[in-house]
Amino acid sequence: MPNTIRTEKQKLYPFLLFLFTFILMLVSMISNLKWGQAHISWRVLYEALTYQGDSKEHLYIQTLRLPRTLTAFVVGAQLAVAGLLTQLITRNPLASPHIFGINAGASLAVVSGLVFFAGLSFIQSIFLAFIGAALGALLVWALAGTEQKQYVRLALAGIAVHFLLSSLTEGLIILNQHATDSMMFWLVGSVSNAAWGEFGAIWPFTVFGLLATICLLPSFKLLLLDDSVAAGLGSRIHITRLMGVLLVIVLSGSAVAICGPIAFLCLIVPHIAGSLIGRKLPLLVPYTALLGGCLLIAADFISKFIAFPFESPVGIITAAVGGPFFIYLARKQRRGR
Amino acid sequence: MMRYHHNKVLSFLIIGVIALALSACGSTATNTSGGESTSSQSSPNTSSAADTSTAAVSGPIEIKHELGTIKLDKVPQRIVVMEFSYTDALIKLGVHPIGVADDSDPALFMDAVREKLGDYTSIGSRYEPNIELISSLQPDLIIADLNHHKSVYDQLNGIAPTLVLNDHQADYNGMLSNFSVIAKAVGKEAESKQLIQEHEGKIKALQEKIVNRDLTVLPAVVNPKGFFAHSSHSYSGSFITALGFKDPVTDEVPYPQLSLEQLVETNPQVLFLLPAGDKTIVGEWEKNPLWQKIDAVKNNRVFTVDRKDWALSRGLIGSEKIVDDIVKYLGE
Repeated sequence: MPNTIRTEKQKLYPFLLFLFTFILMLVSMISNLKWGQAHISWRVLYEALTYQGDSKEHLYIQTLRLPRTLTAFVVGAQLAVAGLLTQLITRNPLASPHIFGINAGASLAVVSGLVFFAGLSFIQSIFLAFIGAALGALLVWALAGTEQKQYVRLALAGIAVHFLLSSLTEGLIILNQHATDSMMFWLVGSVSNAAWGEFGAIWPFTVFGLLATICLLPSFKLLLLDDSVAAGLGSRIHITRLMGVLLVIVLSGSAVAICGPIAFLCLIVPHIAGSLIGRKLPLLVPYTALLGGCLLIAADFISKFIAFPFESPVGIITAAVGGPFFIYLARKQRRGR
Repeated sequence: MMRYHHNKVLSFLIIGVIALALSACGSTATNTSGGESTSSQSSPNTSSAADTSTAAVSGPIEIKHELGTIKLDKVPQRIVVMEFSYTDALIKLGVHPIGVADDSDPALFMDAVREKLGDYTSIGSRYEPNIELISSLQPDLIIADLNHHKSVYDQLNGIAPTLVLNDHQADYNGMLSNFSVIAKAVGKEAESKQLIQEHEGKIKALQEKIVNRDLTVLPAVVNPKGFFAHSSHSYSGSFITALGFKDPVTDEVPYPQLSLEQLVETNPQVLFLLPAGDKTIVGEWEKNPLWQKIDAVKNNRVFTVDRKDWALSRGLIGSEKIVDDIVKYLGE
């Protein structure tokens, strides 16, 4: 009898956690819609969300704040899941697309697109970002090699490629200063200019990326095993890895194309999610997505007030929180050994 | 076997990256050589800098500036300038610089300045000037900006007496006083007073053609990713308030980046767009119904003007062009 109560409790806990995070997300979302540069009353907020009236205030919510918040949610979810996948594939808890040159590759491609072909559509820059992200990933893999247990080399190669590609991006920006004044803002990562156009371009990739990740969960589970054990079970570990990398490219490439490389989100969210809900992938993947979206909305809300009434890039917040967290993780790792 | 394969892939990728890096360098190399070729077409002409009136100045000129004092024993003949506004000032004074930091793009000069500029050597970016190239020109005066060139001041001063002015953060009045300092350095103080008087007369005459000055006017640089308002603490913004218009931003920040929501809240009655690049963020914003809520848009008072006239050539020639533009669009 006590046993069944315990299992009941165990089943209830994840549900409550999801519910709590969902409520937190709703609260941040409504705060983001309510407070901003212009004053909006609760009544106007309600009218705007039910699409009554088309005054300035209604339009702020309908055409700017709502798509911005939704974009922040999907970008946060994408980056968090991309981070989780990278950590699974490389079996390195300090791994993330940001540290592994994938975000830097995507940024380089998007900035090159802006400099060399003026007037790219969102979809075009998303595909450019995929190419850049793939280039970054390929470079890292080529430098680190495909032997087993190459985790340290992988991390070193990732950092090296990240800096190489970032320096090329910054070089491009410096050489084209007058055309790229505000690129610095974008390079820190910002959702402040996201409207329905941006959201419309990115959500199909969110849906595809998350669905594909969930469909491939059974294969990804094998990545939690030791390479030799997985191989012994007849798993094609290389193909699983390749699929994982492609998903990371789709998820983080499209996010970077729309909002710039938002630092550390992809690193920290999987860890927080893992420590809250455990390492069972069927629960961990959706929870990571939800938490990532929730945290980016909250960070975006805070970023509005750093230099009020002017916008600050949300990447400042994620980096300020993420940097110390990264050091904490690295120290914890060392103690664990 | 695997290993061999792997190395091949690696070398292929490395070649790819090097090619990429080289192509990036290649494009800049052609830029600078383009700038240089304009100057190499003829020998640098020093005679133009000398003027009959310089004989009137006697004794050495001593000028205090932002980072020290310079002493010029004779009127400088070979002048290198590091900002577009200094070129504007020298051309107004009838002096030709031999070297200009033009961001390796002669198209950034306003037409009126470029016509009179003649041949010069491009010393590259205003932010990263080429010190060796400046030295090879053997200048006898360098005019630099406090914000951009503070860190290289000692190097520049080693090449030639360097006059450091605060141009980047100067508003319209700051620009006028910088003009007087430059005029003094090139021995044309008397002319400069007359030129400023003429300039003020011209501005006043044009000003009278603008009947309705009770308007909020906002100039803004727009590029693919952002909208940068020029408030009354910037050069063009301060000039517009000096003309009698009002600044809708009312903030201490000279170049605040505005979101569409903020722009609609700011609600300028006249909007002058200074595009940098063919496609700018305004193209996206025009699709939003909020764009129609801005007074300037409602009353068809959104005008596109040239960024090089309004924001780069910060000088007498440039500001006269700004008033011409305003009269053209808002005059009777």
